[in-house]
Amino acid sequence: MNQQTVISVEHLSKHFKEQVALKDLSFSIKRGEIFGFLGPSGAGKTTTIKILTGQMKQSGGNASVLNTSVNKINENIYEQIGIVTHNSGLYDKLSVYKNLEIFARLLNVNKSYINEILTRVGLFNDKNKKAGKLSQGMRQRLILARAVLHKPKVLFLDEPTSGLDPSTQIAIHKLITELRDEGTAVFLTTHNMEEADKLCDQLALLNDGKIVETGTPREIRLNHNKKKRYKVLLKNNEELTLSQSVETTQKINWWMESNELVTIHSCEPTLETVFLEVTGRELV
Amino acid sequence: MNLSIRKISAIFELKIQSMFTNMSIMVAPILSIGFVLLMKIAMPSAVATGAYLLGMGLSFNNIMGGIMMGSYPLSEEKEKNTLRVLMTSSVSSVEFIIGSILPSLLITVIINIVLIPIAGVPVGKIDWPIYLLYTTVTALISIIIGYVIGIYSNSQMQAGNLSMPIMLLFTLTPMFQSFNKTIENIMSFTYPGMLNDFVLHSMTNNYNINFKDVSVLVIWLIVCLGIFIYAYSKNGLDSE
Ligand SMILES: Nc1ncnc2c1ncn2[C@@H]1O[C@H](COP(=O)(O)OP(=O)(O)OP(=O)(O)O)[C@@H](O)[C@H]1O
Ligand SMILES: [Mg+2]
Repeated sequence: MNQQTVISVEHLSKHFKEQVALKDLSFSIKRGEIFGFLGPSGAGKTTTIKILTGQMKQSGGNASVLNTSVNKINENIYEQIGIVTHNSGLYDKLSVYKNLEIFARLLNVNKSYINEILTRVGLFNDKNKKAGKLSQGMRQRLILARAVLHKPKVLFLDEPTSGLDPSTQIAIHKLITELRDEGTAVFLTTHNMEEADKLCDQLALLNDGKIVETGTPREIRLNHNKKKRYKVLLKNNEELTLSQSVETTQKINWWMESNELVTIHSCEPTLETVFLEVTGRELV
Repeated sequence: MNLSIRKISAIFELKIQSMFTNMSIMVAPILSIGFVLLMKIAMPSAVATGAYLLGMGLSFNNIMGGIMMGSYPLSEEKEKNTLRVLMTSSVSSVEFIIGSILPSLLITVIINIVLIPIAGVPVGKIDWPIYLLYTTVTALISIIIGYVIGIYSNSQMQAGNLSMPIMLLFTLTPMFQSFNKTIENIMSFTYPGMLNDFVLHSMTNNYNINFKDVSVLVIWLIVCLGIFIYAYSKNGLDSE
């Protein structure tokens, strides 16, 4: 295994009774990389996280996290892993600060770091508020702060921004990218294609428990850009979509020279259209 | 197995803080004191003897309180999805259990001692080693029963529903045992009945530690621990 590889998954599968949830997944994640795991509801994203974090046993195949096989995970590995899922709870009756203080003690983190991380997630001024009194976006930021308090080498984020307002989303994206730059490997699941495109270094599209496409966001988009097309807007308010050809090149050239061209866009597919193409269904 | 004192004490502190913010856990200890005071005032002293009052207080605090202190916090952790977070923050189940049993036991033992003067029993009449041994072991049995209930409950409401019949049976039956020989006999083989007998007898004549009482305690402790280990190994603390 490459030294830089922190998660490696080989032929992983999972079934619940007769229902197959994951089929033959293989991928690996390196340090300092944000790996996006995309898929519609029920695709198996959360199941994969549960298996990788030792909270559920796989039915077949192998996976290891930080060179430990998931079958042999014990509580010690959690000192190097951070997890955010939809059911990560908080101690509602304790203050924001206390909520982090408990975990600072458990994970042997210097208490002075609590204020630093609270500032980073923008909760410093709310540190004496009871966790139960926080808004949804503030809660999510506190949960995230707790998950990264011990500077984990691997961070699992299960839809960390779903249902949050754009400014909180941006704040969370910023924190995730900063952690990535500090060397954390981030395993991120999302329904949000824009988020994936913007944030992730590598992507895997999951559909019905199978990986149907992998690569960088750009690779995936361009792989599916079979017919190159351009959308132009002209001065006379005419909007045209033109396929790649010698004629198109000449036309565009001419419009540009005569300053007729107002806007021009290439029509490579978005991740969303790729996703629809490869899965044949809408994202939920 | 590697137990970390740091993690156990972090859980211990967490639980102490939770106790003072979640009054439903403190209901039984407070109720036991309140009830003893009320009965002392309301009932003629011939009926509400020191032994009677102490027995009642212990049964509230030690039996009902112990069961609640075991079941409520565990089910609350599950209801609020915090237990899973602790377990995936490098706390082992054993560290969690030790760290959360100790504060409950501590509070229960303190109240068990405080109840003596409140019930009006002269402190000199207490055979301290036996009193502390019996009350602490019975408290521990109650807490373990509470944990079993907690394992099978996913919310505090459910924990309350499951605890209620057991608590009523254990706390009320000793009150009727003076009216019925059969009930009294059966009760003397239960840990709440044995505790009540001990209190009554140690006030009137000299109580001698005896094989039957110790066996009752040991057997209850072992059986409850066995049930707990069985329930735990089947479901974990957090049955999914
Ligand atoms: N404990 C379980 N028992 C039985 N089936 C399960 C269990 N957990 C998940 N599944 C099934 O496995 C499939 C994948 O579920 P999973 O939660 O991994 O989806 P997901 O991709 O996370 O979806 P979402 O985006 O809605 O969170 C679903 O069909 C689900 O019903
Ligand atoms: Mg999910």
